Amino acid sequence: MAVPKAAVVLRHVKSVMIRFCPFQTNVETTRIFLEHVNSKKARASNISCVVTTDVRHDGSEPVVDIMFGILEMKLNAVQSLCQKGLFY
Amino acid sequence: MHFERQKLMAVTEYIAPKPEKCIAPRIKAVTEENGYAKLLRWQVTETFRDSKMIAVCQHNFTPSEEMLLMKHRLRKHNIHVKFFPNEIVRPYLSVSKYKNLLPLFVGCNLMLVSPEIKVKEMLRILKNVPQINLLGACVDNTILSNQGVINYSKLPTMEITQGQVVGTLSLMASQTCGLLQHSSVHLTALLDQYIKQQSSGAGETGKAGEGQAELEPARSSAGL
Repeated sequence: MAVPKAAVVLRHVKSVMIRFCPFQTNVETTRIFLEHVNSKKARASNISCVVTTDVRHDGSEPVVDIMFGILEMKLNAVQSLCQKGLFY
Repeated sequence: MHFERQKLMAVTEYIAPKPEKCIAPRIKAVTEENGYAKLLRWQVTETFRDSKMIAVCQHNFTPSEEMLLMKHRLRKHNIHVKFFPNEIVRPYLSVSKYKNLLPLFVGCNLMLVSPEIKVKEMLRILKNVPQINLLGACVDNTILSNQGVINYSKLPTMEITQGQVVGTLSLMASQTCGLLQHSSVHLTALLDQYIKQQSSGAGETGKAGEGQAELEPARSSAGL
């Protein structure tokens, strides 16, 4: 799946928590997001941003939890957001 | 009809396709397989055949020094780091017995393979590299998740487990022996106790009797 190489900037992000079950078939976009967030440029944009990965095997939907400086944003329906073009 | 219109009509006249063109399929050019792809496929087959432990990890960006250190540490325990493109691995997996590992091979992956099973050491080294996330593993023909690998590493060694099994199996037999002998052992103990009591009691009466016997001759001698 071709993914546009958009630069991920974590300047105002405090922490990112990504939870997914790798044996499910709908985690491709979550894993690609994880790859982008952990890229060299993304890391260089904010060294203090903490990226945690939680790999489970419980059949749960993938969850992306982004904590900004002030407010917290949870992304549960990652797949539907990808279809709408709001996510990678 | 006007000349231009006549020309236009002549140019745009419908030409029906000939029957041969309709029936015969278009011959596609045969693309020869890339030699490098063949080599990679052969390497994948060999890797899966010769390894007892295959761990699949998500490969995020890792600085080259950390990657080198990790490879060095793993190599000490005979664990090799392999990178294969998903286009080569997925067709191989779909026809092999590792079909259930297919969902893992999406995105950027790396494989840690080893002919021996060294799960504890592998986990210890991976803990120091947060950019590499363990997704799953196939250890001894058993597919394990991340938690499964952690539980596997906490298992005791084969010798301890075998000792525990032998102990559990012999427990029943030893309990049966104990139960069978319990009544006779108890009876023996009671009889021992009784004999001791009797002997101590006889000893006391004997002493008392001796004492009386001593007293009587003394009395008789005194009486005389």
